[in-house]
Amino acid sequence: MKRALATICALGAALAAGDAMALAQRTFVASYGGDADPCSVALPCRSFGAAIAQTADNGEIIVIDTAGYGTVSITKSVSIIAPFGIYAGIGVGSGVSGVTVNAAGIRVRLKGLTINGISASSRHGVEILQAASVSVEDCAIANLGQYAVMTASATDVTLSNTTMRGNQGGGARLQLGALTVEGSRVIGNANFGISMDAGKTTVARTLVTANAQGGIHVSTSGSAGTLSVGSTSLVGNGTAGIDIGSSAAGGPARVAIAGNMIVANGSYGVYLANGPGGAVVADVGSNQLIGHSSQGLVTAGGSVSARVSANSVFGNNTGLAQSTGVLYTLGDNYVRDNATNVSGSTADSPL
Amino acid sequence: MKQMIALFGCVAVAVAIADGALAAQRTFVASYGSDTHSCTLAAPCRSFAIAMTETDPNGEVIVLDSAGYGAFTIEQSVSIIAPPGVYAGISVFSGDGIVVDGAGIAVTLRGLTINGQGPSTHGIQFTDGAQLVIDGCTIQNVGANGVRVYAGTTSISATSIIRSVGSGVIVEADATATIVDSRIESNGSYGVWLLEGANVTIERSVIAKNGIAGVNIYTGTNATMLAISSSVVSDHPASGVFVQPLGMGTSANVDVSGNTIARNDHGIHAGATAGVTVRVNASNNQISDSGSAAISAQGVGATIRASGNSMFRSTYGILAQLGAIVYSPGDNYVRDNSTDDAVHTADSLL
Repeated sequence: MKRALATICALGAALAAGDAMALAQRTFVASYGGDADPCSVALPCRSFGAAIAQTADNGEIIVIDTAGYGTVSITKSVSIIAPFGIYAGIGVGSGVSGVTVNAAGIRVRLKGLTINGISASSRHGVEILQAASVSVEDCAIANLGQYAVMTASATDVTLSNTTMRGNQGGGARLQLGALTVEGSRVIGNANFGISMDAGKTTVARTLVTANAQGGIHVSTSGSAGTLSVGSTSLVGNGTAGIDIGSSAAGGPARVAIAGNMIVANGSYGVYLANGPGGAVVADVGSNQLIGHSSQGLVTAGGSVSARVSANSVFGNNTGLAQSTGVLYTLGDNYVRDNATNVSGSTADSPL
Repeated sequence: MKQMIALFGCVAVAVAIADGALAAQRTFVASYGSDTHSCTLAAPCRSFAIAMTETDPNGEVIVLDSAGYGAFTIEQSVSIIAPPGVYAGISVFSGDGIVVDGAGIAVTLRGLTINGQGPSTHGIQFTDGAQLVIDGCTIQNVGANGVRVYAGTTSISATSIIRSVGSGVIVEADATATIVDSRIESNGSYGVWLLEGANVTIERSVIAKNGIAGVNIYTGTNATMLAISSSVVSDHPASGVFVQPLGMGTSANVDVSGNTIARNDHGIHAGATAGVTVRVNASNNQISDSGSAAISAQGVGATIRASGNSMFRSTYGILAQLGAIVYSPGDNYVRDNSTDDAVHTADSLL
């Protein structure tokens, strides 16, 4: 019995020691916390900035209750988690970003944060300068001076169930790396909803609407970029719903656009061009291309090749238009009630 | 050690000052708050109306705990946020639940429950502004319409609009609205009603059991536009998607694709008269058990182009009357109706 007790005591001591270490792998912030505290659940900190200093690599920062927790710079692998039911705000002032991620190889997860620009000269909501991967889940990012999420490094970035609204630079911008946007809302940003300079972008089940310059914009100049867009609504954006390579340096790019609602964007539903950068190859299937003042879909670059199948194309000035480049139609598109239904396409055949 | 304490003291003071300066950009309401407070986290207010007056433009009003927070009017850019897990109620005894009325403003409403308790008018009324986001809200039992949009661009997501005496959502005056992942059920008149050049997109939503029709579209001098996809439109005594002419020179463009449309009178009905243009594209829908027709066009100027649809178990599959045209490029599956085809016009794909 004594031996058993001794064992239990030893075990207790070991657990206590383990707990002390566990604090470092999981830290806490609360409205009633203090940044001089150890960020434990009993003695939480007041800000993300203080908590991250006390969090081990691959650890977690948990938000205990509703409050603002300040901007934070992340240079280690960490998750910042505000559970459902808790508002965790980051107000972003002049010249700074809400969350800055900047260390090679780190993996970062942000869940449940509300990032709000409180100065017109604030920078980005989430600024990714270096990292292996960043996941942004269940967040709302609004009113920033520049972009909601800016990726400037070869990082794997996922935005899930996240709202990006009313940012002056645009919603998500990928300068390098890979971006997935799924189940999200990109609304009323002053520039493009989602834009890509290089890398890979996938957009699925997302609402992209009322962005002033356009919905999704791809303008690669170096190595080939890829874009996939599926089950997404692109409605009432500026110049185009999806615009590939309209800038002078545009191309090369490989593009797949399937099963989307592309409705009443300024001039174009899908605009496919290339600059001197290289060829643009696009597959466009099973979309609704409706109500554009210029073209539902247009190939407008000498090195553009588009294959177009099973789309409904209605109420545009021109439905499917080949300006330059090649436009293949499979014979199964329903193209009617446009001032001109099809101009300059090349018929293709199924196997 | 003393030095350390002194240092911490300084930091604490600095944090306190920073917090004070930020208070107005983020205000708080709570069940234990008071409207004589300054709406800080430590001293929250009790009502949205008072919190609004303490909040900067582009600021946020945060709900701390479950309670009712009262009807109010928004005249500046702001986000009202009740996190999931917190019930933030607005009981509407008369007038509107929330009025959004300020030139150029952008407003977000998240996680609110608006409940009509008498001869209220609208749950949310968007009178003037640039942008309104309604996300994760419930609007029920209001005396007139759940949401009335009269301006700007509105996005409704993950929201339930149920049991309004009038319609679920009304969009007027060339305004634009998107409705995604939402539920619009059991309202007295129409689920969604488009007037006068409205431009509405609906995706992944359920529109069911409303008193008259699912989506009702009046033609407009500027064309009224509807695009609806991946949704369910069911159980209406009138049409699931119902286009009605409203005056000479008016028009409507309607796109209905990939929906399940069941147990309505007509699944899709396009009505026009001389001088009115109604164009409907219906593709890849499943339309079944309609009391009258799966697809119905009536009157000169009404055109439906139907491709890739399945139309089963209705009185008519395709019904074109009084000079209207229903085009079919030969890829619709139309069977088990009392009359399958009355009668389509052949068309082709490209």
